[in-house]
Amino acid sequence: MTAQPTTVHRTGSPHSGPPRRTRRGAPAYKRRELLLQILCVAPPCLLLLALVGYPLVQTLYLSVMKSTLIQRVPTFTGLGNFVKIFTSSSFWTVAANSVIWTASVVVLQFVLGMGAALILNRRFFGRGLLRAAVVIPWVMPGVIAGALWKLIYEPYLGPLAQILGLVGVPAQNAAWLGNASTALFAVIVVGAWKGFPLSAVMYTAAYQNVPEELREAARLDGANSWQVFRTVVLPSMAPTIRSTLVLTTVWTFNYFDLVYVLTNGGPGNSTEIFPTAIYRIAFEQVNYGVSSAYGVVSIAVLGVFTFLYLRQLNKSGSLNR
Amino acid sequence: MPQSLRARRIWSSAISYLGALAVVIVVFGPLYWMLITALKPHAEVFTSPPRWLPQHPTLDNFAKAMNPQFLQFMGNSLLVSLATTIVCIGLAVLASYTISRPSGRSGKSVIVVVLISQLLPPAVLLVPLYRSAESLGLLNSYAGLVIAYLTFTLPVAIWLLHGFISSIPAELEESARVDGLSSFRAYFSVIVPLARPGIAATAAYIFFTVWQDFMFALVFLTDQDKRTLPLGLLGYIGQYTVDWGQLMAASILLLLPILVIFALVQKQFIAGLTAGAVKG
Amino acid sequence: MKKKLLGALLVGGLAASLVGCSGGGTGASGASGTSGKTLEVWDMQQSSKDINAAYAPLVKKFESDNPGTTVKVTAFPYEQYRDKVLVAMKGGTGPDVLALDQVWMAEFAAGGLISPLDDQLASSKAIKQSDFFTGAWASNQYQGKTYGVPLNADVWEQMYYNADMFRAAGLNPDAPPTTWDGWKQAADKLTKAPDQFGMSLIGCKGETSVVLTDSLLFSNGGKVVDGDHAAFNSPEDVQALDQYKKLAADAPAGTSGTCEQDAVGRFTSGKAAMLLDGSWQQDTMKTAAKFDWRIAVPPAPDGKKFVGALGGFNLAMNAKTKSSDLAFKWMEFMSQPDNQTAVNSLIPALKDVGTKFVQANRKQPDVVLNTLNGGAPRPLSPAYPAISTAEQNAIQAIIGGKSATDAAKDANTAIDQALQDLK
Repeated sequence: MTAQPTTVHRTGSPHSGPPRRTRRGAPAYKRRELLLQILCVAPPCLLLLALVGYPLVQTLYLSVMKSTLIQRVPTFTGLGNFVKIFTSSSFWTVAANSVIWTASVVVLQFVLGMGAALILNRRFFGRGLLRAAVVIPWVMPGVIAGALWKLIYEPYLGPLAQILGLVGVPAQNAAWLGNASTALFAVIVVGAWKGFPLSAVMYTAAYQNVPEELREAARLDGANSWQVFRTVVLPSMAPTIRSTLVLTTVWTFNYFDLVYVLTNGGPGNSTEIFPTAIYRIAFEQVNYGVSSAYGVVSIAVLGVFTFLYLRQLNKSGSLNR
Repeated sequence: MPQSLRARRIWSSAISYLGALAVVIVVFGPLYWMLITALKPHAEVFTSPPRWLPQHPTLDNFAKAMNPQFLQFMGNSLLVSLATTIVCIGLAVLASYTISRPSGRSGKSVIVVVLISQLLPPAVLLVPLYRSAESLGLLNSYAGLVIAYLTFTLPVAIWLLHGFISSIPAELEESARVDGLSSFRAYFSVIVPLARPGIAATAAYIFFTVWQDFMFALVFLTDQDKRTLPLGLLGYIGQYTVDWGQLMAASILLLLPILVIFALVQKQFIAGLTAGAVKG
Repeated sequence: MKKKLLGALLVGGLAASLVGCSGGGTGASGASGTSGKTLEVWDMQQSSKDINAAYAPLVKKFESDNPGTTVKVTAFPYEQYRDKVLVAMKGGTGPDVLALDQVWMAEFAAGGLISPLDDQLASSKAIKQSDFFTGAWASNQYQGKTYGVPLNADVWEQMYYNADMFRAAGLNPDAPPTTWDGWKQAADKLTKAPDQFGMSLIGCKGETSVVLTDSLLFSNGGKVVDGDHAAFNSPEDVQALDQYKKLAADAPAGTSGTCEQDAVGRFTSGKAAMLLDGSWQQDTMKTAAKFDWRIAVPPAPDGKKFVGALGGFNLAMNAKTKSSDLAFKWMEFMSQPDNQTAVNSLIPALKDVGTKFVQANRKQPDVVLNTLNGGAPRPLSPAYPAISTAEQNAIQAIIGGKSATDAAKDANTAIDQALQDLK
């Protein structure tokens, strides 16, 4: 059967032995392999092309068109839509809000998630149950979470204001959602609450992957808990942290449900972020041209972020395992 | 020596329980409010100052929420979520054959594709998706909805699986090959079973993501009977009134199956992520 | 060989099953391919009513009156309705008959999505303009043609007030304020911040704030749009906005985030003494307001009469329908008194039926009917969404401290721009 013996190295790299593909004649087998591999990747790729590629192209196309409910046949307008949005102050507010919203939520989710992960890796009674229960905020539909927190934030009917009142904050100042200066912050809190379980679960698992020996060694060297965390645990968890941060950044940037239900972009446009602005312009004002222009900018911002991340990854060499 | 050891143990225990308490408060605080709102009669929701314990607790809202239609919505959600999960895992495992084997293969192209697929804001997708579905005859059908879900969960699933599968040592595949199995067969009978925890973890992620979706269901489903739970819950929000009690009661009922499933899967989920922690 | 085939079959099968089979069937798009024998109707579901149960017997009756036809009625929750309609119609399908908000009519008509009904109406015996509330019928007009048949109507707003709080503040609950100045004075007297406030005002980003403000404008003789240019910064409008601003000073904090539900809550919990809301909230009041609550016509400027802003839904016909005769028959069917009452939780648009409905279901029905009959519609312009946004921004700005004059000016510019874009 085999023309040449193959040796199996238990710890070496897979390519340290003689070449494998010499069984039945290289070309035919290779072709079959290739075909099989293509077939395996084809469905996902086709799906993506159809369902992501098409909307993407459509968005790019419409962004240079004048297309509204009334202007049903799109007419070319060049960069008109872009000029319109870049010269409107509301666009820059939306952009700023989006950046603040995303950055804050991601950071908070990291802190909460890491904190929860550290706690959930300690031994205590009911740990399994808590590990399961911690996902509830994440699993709740965004519309429900928004409705619930709206009740909680209510300055006269909600518990939060009552608690703040006990610490001396008058109800006047506890209307966080109704005040342009505090609304974004209020919404960020909900965003962090809603999404931190995903980070918690990821970090809980990654923490368990940190070799115990390294931690022991550090402790024996006299490091206290914080130092152990900083010098041993965090670096080991780095790959997971990186990928979780990237995913949550992209997802948070595009997250629509929560903000829409909580404030609908208000008061004023103090909580208007890209997803809500795009939705509003597309479905309330039915201006597909302008909303596509916003869409292009939104995609571009995320695209740049993704590009920078990938470049960073490339540099640190952790793509090649 | 034993003295300070015991002191350290007590201290450590205290921190554990305090920490657990903090987590409980953060997670369950708002949920408690959800629960008591569900237990309050409609009028009581609007009393000030807010009551932390319902004055006239009632199970009315739950009773009303558990009507046949709600159960139908829940059944629909289960169907769609399960179908998507199964198909997605199937496709992801297939795709991983190319992408993650042989071990050590760079996952760069995967990451790029994954991130690209997540870039689009939801509102941008609605009309093109609708058009595609309509021209393929997939409107108002679960098949169309599942395909739409696949588009966005599949890349992430492939990425997650990539982490698990590519971390399985190549030697195992090699020895299977030596035993006479083709590359493909080796993959399926040796590697995939080993990646079971990771597959479970990925499946859980897909299930949860689909379970709570609202936007795609809105686009694809028209028939009342076909609606999924999130869509169904919107029925409690009218143009002028919101039935808070029933909305919260229905939401709690919506969460229960999730909790049960995740409690069962939880060990696998964490174990899966441990086995081949998501890298890159 | 075998394995390759297996693999290929697996993948191919999956792909085929995804694209090929459509589990639930697709024939749901009545407007794009069926003969004239099926009808698809979309309506909006008000949360308190089980609308499907209400429609079921009607569908049966219609089908038996018109043998060989099948009618499918789908009701959507309010939150999803506009999205669903837009996506479906933009995507080329959609129902044959659909209920549309009054303020969407001009948009859809200008976009060619719904058909004018003048021909059918001229020869119809079942639908007569005079049977309907004037304002409701007027909302169906666009460029001289009629595009729909009214289904229900209501008006913003009434003033709810807490008689107990009035008494405690030394005001006569049987004589609520009737002028704007009197209103402000009463509100001031009733405000003892932070425990108690005079007004519960809706100010959040959304259509409800606009309707409320419009009623103030209209009562002062102001307009939003005049012909094809904006009229939002006329002196009358500015005065009305100023009144809003004055009232907001007597309202609890966070008015710019207060939507209808929140405003109702403030009133029913006894935090605020007066509330501007529609007559449909009476049901909530009955259960939630545990004090002597009354309604009155909202105050109007000295010497003027209160004019409410109308709302409601109309039945329209999809321009792409293939069952236009059947669709019109359905509209006639729904314009029969019994049928209209059966499916509505807002006031039916037929005058007789509507009056009976109000008398049976509302407190102080004469007040309600008066306001309904005297109400004026919001601007019937295809640019209405943009106009509404401009008004919302103005309201938010005013609550945030801007002067009424400046806010009106900015909104006026925006509205003019929106009307310009139409051309």
